[in-house]
Amino acid sequence: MVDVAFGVVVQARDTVSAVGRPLRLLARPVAQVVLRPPLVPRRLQPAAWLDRMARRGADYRGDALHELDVVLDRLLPAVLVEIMRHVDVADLVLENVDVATLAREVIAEIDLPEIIRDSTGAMASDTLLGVRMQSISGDEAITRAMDRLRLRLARRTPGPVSAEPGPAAEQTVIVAAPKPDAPATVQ
Amino acid sequence: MEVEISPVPREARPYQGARAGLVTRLVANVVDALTVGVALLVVYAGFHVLKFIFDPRGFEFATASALLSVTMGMLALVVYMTFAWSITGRTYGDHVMGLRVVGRRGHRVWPPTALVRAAFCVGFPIGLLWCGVSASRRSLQDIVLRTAVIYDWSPRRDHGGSTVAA
Repeated sequence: MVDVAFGVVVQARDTVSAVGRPLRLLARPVAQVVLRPPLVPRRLQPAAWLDRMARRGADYRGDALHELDVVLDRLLPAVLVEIMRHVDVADLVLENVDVATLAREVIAEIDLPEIIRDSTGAMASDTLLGVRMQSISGDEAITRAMDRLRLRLARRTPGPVSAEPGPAAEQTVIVAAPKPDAPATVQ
Repeated sequence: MEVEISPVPREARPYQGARAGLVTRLVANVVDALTVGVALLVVYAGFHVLKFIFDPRGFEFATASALLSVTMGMLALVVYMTFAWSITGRTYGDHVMGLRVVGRRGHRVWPPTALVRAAFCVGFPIGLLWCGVSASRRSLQDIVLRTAVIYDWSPRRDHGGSTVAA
């Protein structure tokens, strides 16, 4: 049914367009003659009168819009104050919006703690961050070195080597990575 | 919907809850030793200032033997570490280096455990070196008392999702 309706509308549009085109071709010279009749002075022609009316209308429209702006500037604040007096917007928001979740989501999305760290005490926090990350890198380096040593000892000595439980027994995952993106985590 | 907000910088998040290694723990211990040393010096200076105020004519610096000084320093260190570990789980050095001492199940250590651990750490500091050798990054103190030192940059224990399975 919807397709039929669309089909009818499209057909009607095409028909009007088809009929309208010759009519427009016919009407254009007639309108030309009516609006700018020959042998009539230019300022007395209907087209000139229409131009004057259009200019006056445009001026009036501009003035009216300006006046409307002024009225709205005065009226709207007063109306809004009255509305706010009768409606508790805070209650309305609290009833309909989960503000806490929204705030948490926004904070998590923009990573607010990171921004605060960046904007406040950047020097001190950067220094501390650098010291901590360097010490973590040192920890990783020692772990890797000991791991290599353990492997070397294991190759030399047949059978079980380490007196202490090794990485597998301790559920230790050691990832050989010099960068902090892949740390040696103990889980 | 629960959204977790981490106060830990992005680059440090992968390490949260992992056991700390030798370098970080050594630095933290040095900071602690310096802190206690400075605190003892301040107390010593304060004591002499008071002594001078009350008896300026008879004032003279109190002298103590090296053994007594070292013993006092070690005792102060033990008391300081015991309180710090049992109250917040971290000393000032741990705080600076982003570490936390936790018990067997990842909770804060009990005061008696903290006291024994502090005495063990101060009396036998070389035991810390074992965490560089150990695959599980445990010092001798950790092995004996079943404690662990973890990276924890979050200000509170229950904040930041750092956990450890000892």
